[in-house]
Amino acid sequence: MYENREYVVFNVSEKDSIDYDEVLENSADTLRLSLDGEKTFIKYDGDMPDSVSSLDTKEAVRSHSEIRELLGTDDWNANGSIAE
Amino acid sequence: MALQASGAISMSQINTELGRSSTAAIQLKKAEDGDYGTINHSGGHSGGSPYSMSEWYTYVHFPDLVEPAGIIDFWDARVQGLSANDWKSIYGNDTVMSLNNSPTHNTSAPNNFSLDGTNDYIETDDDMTLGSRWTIAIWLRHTATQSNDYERILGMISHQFDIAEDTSGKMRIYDGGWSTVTAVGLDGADWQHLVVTYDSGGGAGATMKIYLDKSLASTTGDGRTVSGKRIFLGCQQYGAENWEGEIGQFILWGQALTGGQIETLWGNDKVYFDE
Repeated sequence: MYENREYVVFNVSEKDSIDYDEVLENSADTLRLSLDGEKTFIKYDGDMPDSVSSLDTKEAVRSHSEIRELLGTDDWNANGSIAE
Repeated sequence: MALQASGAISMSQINTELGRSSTAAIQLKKAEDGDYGTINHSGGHSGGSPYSMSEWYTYVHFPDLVEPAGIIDFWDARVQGLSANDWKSIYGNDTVMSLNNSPTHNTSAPNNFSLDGTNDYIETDDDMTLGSRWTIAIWLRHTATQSNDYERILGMISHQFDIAEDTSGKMRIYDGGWSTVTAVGLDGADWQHLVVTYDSGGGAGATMKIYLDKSLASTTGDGRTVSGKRIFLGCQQYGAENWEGEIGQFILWGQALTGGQIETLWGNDKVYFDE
């Protein structure tokens, strides 16, 4: 279902460089962050948008299965740990 | 065709009465809610809201399943709501849920919102108070093995009550501590109807029951009162531990439904979700 979707991880410090009309995220406020708060990612369908291409800290493009694998790691997933 | 004073008339009855070649129209009206418009045999819909056959289907069956009163909100993917980023409740408090990071709205039956398990989620715009007796009902379909053991189907601010699916497809719940509900497998290939009821018992001991496809799967003393918290579908509070799957309907009651009521609820939409 997500064969045409791509995901790009980058440093949170560049979140305001994204044009949120070009990507599938609503805004900088709805981005998912890594547990240390240093990384985030955006997604888009089709070609990479200009504002994503311009990011200095972007990592290699990931597929849906590749980003899901990353998000299952301890860097991104609290694994049920809760501090109420 | 003689109309009965109350209850439901099935489409098969109407089809039988009109026949294939009929040019008659079906007018849908309900006194307390106004004109539901007209569905012609070939010309589609005209008249007032709702605007499609599937939306009408939602409305027309709904009065049967809300007895007794106590419903808080009812979201159905056949009726998205206000805009591309909103999902409005069609009954109860008319609470709006925000669609964050582009869940895909699949508009062929069974209509649903598809969550890719990375960062998309759905969130109530308002705090929700379920109280000391409540029911949560969700039509859902798992579409992949989850990437970790606590991927949230439902989350709440402060984690008052969370529902997750683990990598084995089993249901997990959080009510101050995690429990695995081994009797509930959420990794079926087909749509599943998951219902959780909670009754604090008023000092007599709490009871939480979990039903899967109308059958009682688990009865425990878990669960807790839920008051004044925003609810998330597809992630834990504020977006993380995202669940991958599809959600077609989400209903909240401020009371614990009975097994019979849950069977009725399941029966109202089972055929639709099997399409």
